[in-house]
Amino acid sequence: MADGIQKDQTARGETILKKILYNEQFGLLVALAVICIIFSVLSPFFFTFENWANIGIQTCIFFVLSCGMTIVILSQGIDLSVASVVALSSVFAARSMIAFNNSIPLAILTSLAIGLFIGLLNGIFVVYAVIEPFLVTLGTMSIARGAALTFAKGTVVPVRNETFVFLFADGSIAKVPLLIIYSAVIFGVIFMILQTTRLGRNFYAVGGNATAAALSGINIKKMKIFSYLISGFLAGFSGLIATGRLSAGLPNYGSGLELDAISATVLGGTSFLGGKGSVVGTIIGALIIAIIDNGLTLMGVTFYFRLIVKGVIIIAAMYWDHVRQVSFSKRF
Amino acid sequence: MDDQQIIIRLCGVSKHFPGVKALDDITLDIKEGEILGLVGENGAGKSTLVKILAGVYKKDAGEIFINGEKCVVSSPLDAQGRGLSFIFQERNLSPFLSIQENIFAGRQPVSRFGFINWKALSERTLNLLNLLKLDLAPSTLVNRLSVAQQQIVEIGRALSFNSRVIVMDEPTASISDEETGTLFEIMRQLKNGGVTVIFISHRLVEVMSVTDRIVILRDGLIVGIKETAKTNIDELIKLMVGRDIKEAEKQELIPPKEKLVLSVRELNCPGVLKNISFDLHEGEILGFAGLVGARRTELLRALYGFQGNVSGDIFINDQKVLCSTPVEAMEHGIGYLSEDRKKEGIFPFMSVYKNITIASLKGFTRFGYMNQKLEREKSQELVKALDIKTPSLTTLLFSLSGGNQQKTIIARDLLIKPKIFLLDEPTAGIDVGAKFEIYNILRKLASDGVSIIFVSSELPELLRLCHRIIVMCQGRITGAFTAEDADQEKIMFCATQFE
Repeated sequence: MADGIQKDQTARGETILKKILYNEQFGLLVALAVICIIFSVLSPFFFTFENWANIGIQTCIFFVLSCGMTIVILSQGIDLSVASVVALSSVFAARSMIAFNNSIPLAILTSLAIGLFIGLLNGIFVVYAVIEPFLVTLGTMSIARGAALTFAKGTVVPVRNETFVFLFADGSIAKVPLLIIYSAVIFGVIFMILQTTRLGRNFYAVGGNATAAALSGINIKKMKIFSYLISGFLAGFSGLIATGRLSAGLPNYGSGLELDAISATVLGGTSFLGGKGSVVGTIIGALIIAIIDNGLTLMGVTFYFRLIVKGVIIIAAMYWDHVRQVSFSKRF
Repeated sequence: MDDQQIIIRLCGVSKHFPGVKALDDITLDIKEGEILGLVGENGAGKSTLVKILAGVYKKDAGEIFINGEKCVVSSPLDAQGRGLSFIFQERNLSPFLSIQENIFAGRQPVSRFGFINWKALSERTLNLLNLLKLDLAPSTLVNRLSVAQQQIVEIGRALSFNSRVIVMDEPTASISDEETGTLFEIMRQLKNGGVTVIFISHRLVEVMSVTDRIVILRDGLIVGIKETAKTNIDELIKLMVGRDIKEAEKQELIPPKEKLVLSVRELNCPGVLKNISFDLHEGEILGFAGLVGARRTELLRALYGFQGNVSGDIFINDQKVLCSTPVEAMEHGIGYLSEDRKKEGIFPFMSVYKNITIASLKGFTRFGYMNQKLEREKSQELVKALDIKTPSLTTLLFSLSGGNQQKTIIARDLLIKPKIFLLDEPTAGIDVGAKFEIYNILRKLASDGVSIIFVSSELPELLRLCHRIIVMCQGRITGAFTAEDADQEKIMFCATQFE
């Protein structure tokens, strides 16, 4: 009777829903495919191994940061400090190489430690001082950038070590650039955490409904701090790559990368609402952004115009999330 | 009395929300210069009626005449323009501005160049304050005023708009007796000046003392319009709760065991709970009745370790415990269903089965990884047992109906196998079919030995389902009845025992 109707309605809702859901990530893949086709027509260099290896190398940091950003935004937070942390840990890695006789393990440790430290700061202020994540990370963004400039004494910190550069920039195994391997591994780890572990389940819960998560026995404070730790850690790792690529620690590196990471994440379907999203979507989103940029470069479009295009993509992604949120609240 | 002008006339006003008729054919004449009381239980339709007058809601049927002119109140601004002012429980003032700036916000007297004429502003405000006998400087910041004083400032603002009707929603809720006396004086003054005051309150003693007439709402209908001098509190209560003809006979409840599973002694939370003491037996369904603000929700949260600043003794199976987090409460076998499932219960973007297992993750975790196959198995059992209608286990929860969402959260709580189950308004906003399914689920649980505390604002529901009913008011226990003794009037009487 009434139950039967209900079942039909929910069944119909499910089919439509399936379409929408599939559309989100499927739609993104379709968009990606279309973009690739367009650019391969417009430029003969597009679908070459060298070009794609290049894309992989140039966007490694972007991808890694986006993975971390996915977890943070998923848990209803945001991390504006990641780009500055990349610069800070890059400077520290370089200085560590100089100070400890080119010891790569120590450089790695230093870089990761810096990332974790800023992540911890972010987490503690968001959770215990109860300040908006936007404001906290805006502050640490400045602090980290200032610290980077301070410790680099306003200039660059050179690194002269072939192994380091091999590991974190040029190197490849069987023609596959190491950086692409790092991106893939990190993506795989984050994907696994979010989809198969209890930790990942907790992140989705905290982001989806923090109070309900607390009532279900989840420690939301711990989870939020942890999300910032992961983001910081990945930013620290990215610092090593930055140092490798430039053979130096550049305190001014990466300004604006945080916005790229946020754009990729939101474009990929992770909503500021929280509790919704996937690192798969983020990677597709990141690929879309990266490939558009690459394609335009191949076509000879100037850097400034590419910036404009990127800005348009960001606004489109944010607007799309807004529309999603509005349609959700209407159904709800 | 009859030659008083009618300032607002309502004819057949109705308002529907999905699944519920909030107002049903309301016909009422409100006279100029009278103090009209508006009473009724939670959900009777008082605030819906007020919101229609205030232009916040649009009526679905009927006509409204203001000053003899048929009109549609399109927005709060429009209501104000028509001479209606509203003073709600939440203060509507800017705390960091002064009294004069609040009263004349947007209408400050200005000099020729657009600068505010502070002298005129201050004078006009002072006139109003003198009229209301509020001895304060117009430049005083509002956040320095007491609640009662802020209310008077809001009345001042209403007067500055030359409002003919002032609606006050529970104005005496957070003020002292003395201040209440002053407020009533002002209301009488307003009445003498030809202003109509509509006084909404649960405090029947106060309503009896200051009003000229009283309108009683029940289930969206006007069940009585009485002249205050010719009625009494008992009659008001009778009308408010009514002899409910559709109340089903109380079903056979399996009597609870003797064993005490929960004993609460002198539970206190400053400003919230006062000296709460009661017992709960094995297999018992204990109902908690009361009005909104009785603090029943806070009591449940205190038992579940989700309320701060709690002192007193809680004994579970004769063992003294103090749960300071939900995790501890769950370890002691307490389950909790929150009042507001949207805000505190559901994970809208998570699948049904993940919503069910979220409070029991430990049992499904192996070396940090989730055993999703087992999760789905256990969830399927519960979906079947509770008859949750969902296309699949992986359907996202937001696409289920309210009743099925609620059942999903009940399934979540059942998965932890609670011995004591705390439920806060479990059937709120749920269709009738699902309601009865939930009653059956609870009855079966009780017969299996689970002890249940059931908070509800629906008296018929409590009477139908509970072995005993405790009534709370303002954070105190004001009454306790067995199933046989209890009836709606006695409960309502205890629920309105304000201090």
